[in-house]
Amino acid sequence: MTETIARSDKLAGRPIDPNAPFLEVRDLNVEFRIEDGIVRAVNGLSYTLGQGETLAILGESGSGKSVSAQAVMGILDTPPGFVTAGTVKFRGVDLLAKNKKGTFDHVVPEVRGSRIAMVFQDALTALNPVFTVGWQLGEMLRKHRGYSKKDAKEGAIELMERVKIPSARERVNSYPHEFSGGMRQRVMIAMALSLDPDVLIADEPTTALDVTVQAQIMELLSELQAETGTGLILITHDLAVVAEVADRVVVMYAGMRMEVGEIQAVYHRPSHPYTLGLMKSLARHDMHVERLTPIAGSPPDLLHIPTGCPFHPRCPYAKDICSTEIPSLDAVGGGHASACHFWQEVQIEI
Amino acid sequence: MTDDLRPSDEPSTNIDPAIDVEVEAEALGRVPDASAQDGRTASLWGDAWRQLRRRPVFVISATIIVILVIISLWPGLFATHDPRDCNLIDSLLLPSSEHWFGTDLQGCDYYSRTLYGTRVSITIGIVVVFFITLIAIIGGSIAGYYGRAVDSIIGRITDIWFVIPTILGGIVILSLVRTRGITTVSLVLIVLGWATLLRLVRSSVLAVKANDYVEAARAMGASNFRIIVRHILPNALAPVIIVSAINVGVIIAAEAALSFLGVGLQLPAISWGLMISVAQQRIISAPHLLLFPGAFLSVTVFSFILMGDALRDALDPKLR
Amino acid sequence: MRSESNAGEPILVVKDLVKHFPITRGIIFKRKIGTVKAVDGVSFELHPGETLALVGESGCGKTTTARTILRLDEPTSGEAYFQGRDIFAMSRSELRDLRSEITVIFQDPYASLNPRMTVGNIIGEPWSIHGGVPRAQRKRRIQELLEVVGLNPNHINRYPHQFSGGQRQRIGVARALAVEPKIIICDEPVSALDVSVQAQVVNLLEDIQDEFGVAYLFIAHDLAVVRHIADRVAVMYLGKIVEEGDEYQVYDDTAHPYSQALLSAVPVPDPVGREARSRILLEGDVPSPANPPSGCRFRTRCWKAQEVCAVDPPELIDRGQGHPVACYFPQVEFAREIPTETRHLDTPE
Repeated sequence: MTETIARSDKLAGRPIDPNAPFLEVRDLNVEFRIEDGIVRAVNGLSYTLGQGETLAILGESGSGKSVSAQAVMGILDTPPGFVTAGTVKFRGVDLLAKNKKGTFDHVVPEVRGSRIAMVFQDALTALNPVFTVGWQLGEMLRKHRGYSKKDAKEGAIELMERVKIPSARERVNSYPHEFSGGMRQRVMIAMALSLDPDVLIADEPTTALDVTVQAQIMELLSELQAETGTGLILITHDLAVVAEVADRVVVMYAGMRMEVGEIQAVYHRPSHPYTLGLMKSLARHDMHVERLTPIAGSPPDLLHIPTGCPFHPRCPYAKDICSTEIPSLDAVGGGHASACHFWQEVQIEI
Repeated sequence: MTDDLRPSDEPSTNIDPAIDVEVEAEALGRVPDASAQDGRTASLWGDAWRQLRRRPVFVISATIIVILVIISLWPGLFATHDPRDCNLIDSLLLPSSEHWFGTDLQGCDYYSRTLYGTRVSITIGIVVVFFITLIAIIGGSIAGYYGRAVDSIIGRITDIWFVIPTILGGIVILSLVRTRGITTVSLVLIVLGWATLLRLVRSSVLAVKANDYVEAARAMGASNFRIIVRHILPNALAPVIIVSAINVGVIIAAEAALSFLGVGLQLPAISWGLMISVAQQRIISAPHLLLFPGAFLSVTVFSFILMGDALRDALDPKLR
Repeated sequence: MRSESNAGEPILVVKDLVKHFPITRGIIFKRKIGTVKAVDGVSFELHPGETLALVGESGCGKTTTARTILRLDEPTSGEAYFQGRDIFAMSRSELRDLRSEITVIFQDPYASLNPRMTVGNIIGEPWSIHGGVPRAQRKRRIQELLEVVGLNPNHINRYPHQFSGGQRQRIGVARALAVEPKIIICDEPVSALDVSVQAQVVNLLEDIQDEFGVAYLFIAHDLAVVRHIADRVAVMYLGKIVEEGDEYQVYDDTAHPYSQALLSAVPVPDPVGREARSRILLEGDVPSPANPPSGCRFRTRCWKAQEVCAVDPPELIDRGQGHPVACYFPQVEFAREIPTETRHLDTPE
């Protein structure tokens, strides 16, 4: 294995707090300034991630889930994207700092890849097509750990074996397009894990894969996580995948948190109309469902997010206050919270 | 439907409370759409036009081109003299109030000659580009749409044509022809110029062909002709329009170059290239001979290229 | 879903359909260096008003099957009959008529509508091709169709980019419905939609089937949606059907090892019991369709594989389970836990 190098307890010159959560995001706001107006992509997102934990950020397109991860990693496209509020702390170290223009810059690039790593949805576009897989894996080791070319190649083979790519020694010289979708995803996971990060952010890692391959990849991620104690942030729209692997979940809609809590609490006592609506609209392969109950309407146009609660135009429980006042995240109990004025009405037992 | 009675700029937030939301859910999501403006064309062409109108680059280049076209159609409206009414006594006069651009070697009014030169340039530019574009669209669509053997054949012919450099080829061919009028020169330029554009049309057609709506048309039983004309071309033409606009400028410059080299138009045709050619030898003593046709040529070519740029900005992002 | 389909004469019969794609090399003269056996002997029947789903992972041949039936790709061999008429023997004009009886809904709502046509023109285009509705009546018919699919009829002159993904898919449904077809081929109609919108379109498809009696050939990889909407399901692997039956037969009495592995891999949206849930994890990747294993195609990844599996491909017949299975050693696993609570997810008034 790539040697577990004794981690210094400093990151970019700042001390790491051994008691702080691996990742702490507080009131994160991201907006996009485009020709047609301002898109408020993320609006007050907060969460924490501890060692070995799996946090799922569940949302559909336009929920802001991917943008928030990009802001945490510091890979947000700026311009047109700007972090306009919030703090992001990696083990106590602030990653964002306010600049002269009033927005926030990501000031700790060292964290990328070596402390917080990311896996993307489409490995074919995330991997460089003109370099071999071995070269790309080795590059991480060469650049960040000072490995020699020979050692880097050995390291790459080890990494490929770790993610269970068969015939790693022969395939280390292959190009990304010569692998199948599932294998490419494993290569991306290998790259993400190459520097032993503390946090892994997986943005829709299995959406483009067949269901049997998806099961393999999720199993792989679980195993690796158990081995290394890495914290995992899983970003997805798939309620079933979340139910299978997450410890806690944050449900996002139009950039805001709708419901947060431990997985059992949220899935068995959903307390927000959106969460409830998602669950009711699901078909099941393991039981007969007579009729699906969809959520009315469409996901919102982010240039014109509805006033008050962003979900109110589609909500069967909506009353007058819902269009004027944004609901705060009310505690439901035991770490479970819902941003709904009427969550008590909404909550049901499953 | 209550939706459309709402003014178009009201945010699409509240479902009309009169509609029972349960019924709404059953009605499967009839949510008013905020992005459309009722009463205005929201077609992609309409959007592009609205965008174009706002850009100064477009307005400037369009104005210049319109003026040039008017001059080329009715030069007599603007000219002060008959360009062929030349008096040797007035040879090589510098600009004055009587001859705004001075006179040339034969004593013809240079201003009027320069204006008449516009006719030749614009005519050749537009006619040549028109035919090149026609050939390219027909050939490129057939090659791109039908593929396989047809594509291979057209592709190989195009490849061979690519080998011939435009100006050099033009020189060689034209130097073999005794009398060269606008028709001859235009024909040669057409023959030399279609290859690049055909390639462009072909790749644009290939890109559009990959879309599901083309497949949907096939699955619907549409004829090949219908698919090409209704589905493929309207979506494939944007890059072609842009390049054709620029090409007008390029062809005008090419004709001027060929005439300058003595293998393009011949006297008594009035062409800026010819005028510049003659002006070469007297740059010091009579700079006005070079200045005015040179300036007109530059401005003309430049305005078409600018137009192409403006079109690209307006058409490109809309198209994918 | 519908428990009765109109049994009786099937309107679509497919027998031993084969579609091989040649792999060629060469610039001017192409040489064939191999074949991709995308569909390799598929047979099924579709009855009026029924939904038959072709389910499988990428590369199994489900989409190619549908395309070949419509002759969007010409078949390599096999037969297909629509209402008794031989599809593969049809002339060009007969084929064009067929395209008004069997229509298609495509997967990608953003690519399946011509961005330069108004919604009204898109929906009405089938009439321009096939006739049937005089120009004067078209506007009204289009508006009726827009209402049927849950869209505002006043939006008839809008363009696709002014609609959301779910709405565009409805436009696609309206277009497929315009010529009153007998069969609609639904090619992954909801995969590209947001979760909250998928159920809307699924319900729409069901309602349309109830109202108009259309049959669906439903192609999908989402096993949950398929279970819900299909009357019968055919599981495909590497160009062949491995198991076929109704929802309970295929999903609860699963007998083919691949189907079992496939179903066990589908995640369940319920965290309870996730530790205990047993999952069959298949090793490695699907073999290349250019070089499929001899005999039973699944044998290279099958835990039951024996010598006989490599010799002859097993036929798709009932071997005692009550539905056709293409395996020499099918076995219904009864170990699946039946959830004790059904869903109590009704909206309180």
